[in-house]
Amino acid sequence: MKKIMLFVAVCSLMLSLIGCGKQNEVANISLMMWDEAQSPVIQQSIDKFNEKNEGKIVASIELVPWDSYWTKLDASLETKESADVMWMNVYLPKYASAEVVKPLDEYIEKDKLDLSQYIEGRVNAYNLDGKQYALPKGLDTVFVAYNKEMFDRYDVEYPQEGWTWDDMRTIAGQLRDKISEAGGAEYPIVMELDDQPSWMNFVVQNGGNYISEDGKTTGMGMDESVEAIQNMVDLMNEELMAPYTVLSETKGTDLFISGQGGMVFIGSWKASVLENSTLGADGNIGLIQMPALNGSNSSVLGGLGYCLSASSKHPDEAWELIKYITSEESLYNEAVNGIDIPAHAKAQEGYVKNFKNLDAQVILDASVTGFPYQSNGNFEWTSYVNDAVQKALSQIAPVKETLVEGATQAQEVLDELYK
Amino acid sequence: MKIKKFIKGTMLVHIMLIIFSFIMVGPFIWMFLTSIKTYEETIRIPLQILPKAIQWINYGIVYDKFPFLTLYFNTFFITLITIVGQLLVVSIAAYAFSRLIFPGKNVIFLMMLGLMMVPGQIFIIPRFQLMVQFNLTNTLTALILPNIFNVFGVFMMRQFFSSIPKELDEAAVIDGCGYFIIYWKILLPLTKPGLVSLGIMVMLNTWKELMWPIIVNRTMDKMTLSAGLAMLIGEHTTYYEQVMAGAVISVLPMIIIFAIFQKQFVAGIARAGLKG
Amino acid sequence: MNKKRRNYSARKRKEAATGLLFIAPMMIGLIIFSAYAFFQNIHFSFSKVGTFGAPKFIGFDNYIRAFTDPNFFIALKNTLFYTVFGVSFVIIFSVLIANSLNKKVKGRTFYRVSIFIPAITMPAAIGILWRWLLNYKFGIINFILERIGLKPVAWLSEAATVKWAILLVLVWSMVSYYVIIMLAGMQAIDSSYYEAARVDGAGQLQLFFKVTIPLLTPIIFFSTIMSMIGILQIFDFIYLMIQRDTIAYQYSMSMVTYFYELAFVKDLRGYASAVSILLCIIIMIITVIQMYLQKYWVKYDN
Repeated sequence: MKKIMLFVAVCSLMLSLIGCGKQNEVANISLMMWDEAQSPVIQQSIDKFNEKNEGKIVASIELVPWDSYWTKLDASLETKESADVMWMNVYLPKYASAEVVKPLDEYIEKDKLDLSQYIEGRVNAYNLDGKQYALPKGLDTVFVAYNKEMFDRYDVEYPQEGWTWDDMRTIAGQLRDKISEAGGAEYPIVMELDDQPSWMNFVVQNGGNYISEDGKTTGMGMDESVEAIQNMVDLMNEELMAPYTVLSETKGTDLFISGQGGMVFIGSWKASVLENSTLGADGNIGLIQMPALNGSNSSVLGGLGYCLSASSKHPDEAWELIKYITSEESLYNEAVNGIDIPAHAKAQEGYVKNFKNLDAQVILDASVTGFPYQSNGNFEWTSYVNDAVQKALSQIAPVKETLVEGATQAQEVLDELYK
Repeated sequence: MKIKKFIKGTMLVHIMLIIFSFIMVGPFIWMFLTSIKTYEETIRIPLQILPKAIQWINYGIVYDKFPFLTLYFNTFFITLITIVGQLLVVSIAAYAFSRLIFPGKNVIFLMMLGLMMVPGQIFIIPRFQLMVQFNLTNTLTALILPNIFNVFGVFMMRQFFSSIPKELDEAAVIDGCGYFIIYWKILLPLTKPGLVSLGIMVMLNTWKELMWPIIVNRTMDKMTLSAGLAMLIGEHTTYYEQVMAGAVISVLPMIIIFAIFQKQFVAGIARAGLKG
Repeated sequence: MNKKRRNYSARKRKEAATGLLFIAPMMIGLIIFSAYAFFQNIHFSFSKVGTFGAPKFIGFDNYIRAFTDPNFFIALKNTLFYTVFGVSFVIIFSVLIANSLNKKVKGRTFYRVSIFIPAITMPAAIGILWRWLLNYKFGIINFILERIGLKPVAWLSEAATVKWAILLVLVWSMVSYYVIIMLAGMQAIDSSYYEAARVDGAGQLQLFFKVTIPLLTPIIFFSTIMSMIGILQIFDFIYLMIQRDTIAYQYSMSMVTYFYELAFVKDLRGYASAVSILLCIIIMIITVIQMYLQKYWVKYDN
């Protein structure tokens, strides 16, 4: 009996020791993100954060490439062993409805955080049913980059601010003719094939939509949308733009910075790629707003935010990290390093300063007229319209029929979802 | 007369072999040549075959960007542990199927043969969810565990055990040896060629498997070389000279190992093939 | 007498117990990772399974969906295309190459090492290498085509050619492995067969068609089955060489690529399970047909 008592006593002593140890232990938290290019700069903020919270919190970055980011995030959220803080974009509704990310309202209230210091559109993007699920990190805009060296070489005038779709066609036409005269192999226009930096802009400019505001109907079958896509097909047919086969093998940005494209529709997330390219370093990249189709030059406005995992073991510490990493100080640092356009208004001025080879004010200005990336956070229906757009662009099927058919199929899925 | 015979006989064979060898090796030569060019040289039109100056720096760049040592370590670690695991699990089961009589033996063996026919994709989603439940996602264990239970290995090793004369272990039984001793001390050493084949199979499999690692693991430090390389091109399609340098770093060691152990390798693959 | 029998049956019992014990680790593993997984997959194929939350039973909906999904049929057609052409080319080329390597010529070791290299190269490296070789503008293949007066081909981005590009890489990467197996098979052929045929006055070609090929049929049969099962599950090269979300991806995707997209990109795990089961059924049917047909052409030497 005595022995047992002794054993129990020893055990409880040991347990209490372990308990003590735990109390003094620092909280290890992690941040999951996908962009390798941004990680060194974000690491700087993390280092500062760790310094400030020395002995209490140690934060670290978990880098997962974009291709596998969402799969990995899903798996890790499901096992409740995800990173504490993670990058989030338009996919938020899926995670919010599964309740695997935590609303931040109680923290915001507790710390009396002023949300008006952020760009309004980006705060609202993470507000679902009145709950704030993320703090905004930055924003993405879309604009046009052109190769000054090529324009000079072929003696074509640079595009001018306020240009329209037709102006763009004229300029591209001049380039095309001069290129073929000189026996060159360049393309007047190149682009990426995914929605955000290319066709979604023109669909919306032309009065169509990808998904309606209530998220229940897709407008890709509308005449306006069809016309916008047809416009792009015409560019290819008239050799104003690189053919689909070329674009689907090598990304538009890659073609552009390797000097094979005169102009490219491009997103701000590629700005540092432009800045650091040989072309950019030689001062040969000009930037300009998107051309206006049908009177509007509005472009897609995207962005990222930081979410808090609902299964985080250290939610309070994770919140501290979110708060710090979206503070003016951190975002200003991101801005001067040119990795992202800050969603924090005061931090934005840092962004322009960073660029030596690009006129970054153009990138900021594009956000003024931008519209948010169109999404309802569900991706079961998107493949129907996306496939249809690719089919239309590649011209293996007539534009109108393909888009209408794709939109009809997507609509069936949407109807099923919101029955 | 002699020359005519030579032309008729081996000349044709030589020409054919040279063509085939070139088709197989040529791409690797291009891989290497690209890896030592500058970016501008890789996208020059018309194509530039040889670089002006050799750019070893590409190797430095890609080595800094990409954790080759970790990936190599992971790949060899996974291969090693999987082989050890199979040695313990697969060959002992093969021994039992070959030598011992127990209830349900034939039924179980037939069912295992049936499993060999089933494509791996059938298991992937449930296995993935199992890994999720066991909290094993993003671990090297997740890449090892499901691969230990290699049905084909049991089948192959059983053939090897069956090809050893039964008199050998019957004598040992009379001497009073236990079954495990017979297996471990007497028969296993005799199936060395089989074990080598098994090892080569595991190695090639770990070396080649792509889908499972990219599904179940998420960070670069938990990838095999193959999956890591796939992730590298997912991100960088612009600078082919760097990508090719990465490819050279990943294939060269295996080619060297192969050139040295050519005979064993070939024999191992052939045995694995022919026994099955 | 009685005692002896009891001993005997005790030994038998011990043997049975030992046997079960020895296969136990393997069985436990297979029950968890194969048997359970197999039935779970069937269960999923009748359910709606997303990332979060429990599966919901929906009957045959996933299977019905497959039969009305044009993408499923594209994937199926592509897979059969790869299989039929891939297996034929792999077998033909591997027999031809193995036959040349089986001749006693100088520099055999060099040829052998060269030809075997793709067999030990990882698909990831092969994929990115060929993606570069087949590049429309900067690839060396198109450069060679232009040099000999042909038009460049958009190998990896044109709906009509992308399948052939994948097939090319597939065959290139697989031939080596089967050369090894064919060569081993050829070397196992007793030389007395050749001597007897030579006495009868057979030439090189006749030796090849009358002796080598017939005696190699068991190996050819085995290789056909193995390469077929392998190609029916093709995934790597498509994943590595073709940009996702382009038309080329759609026109080259195989059933396994489609399965991967559904399960791990689009989050339609239930439907993906159904696709995997349909693939399994197709593999079974083709294998059974092969097994049945083998008795008409495979000659076993005994």
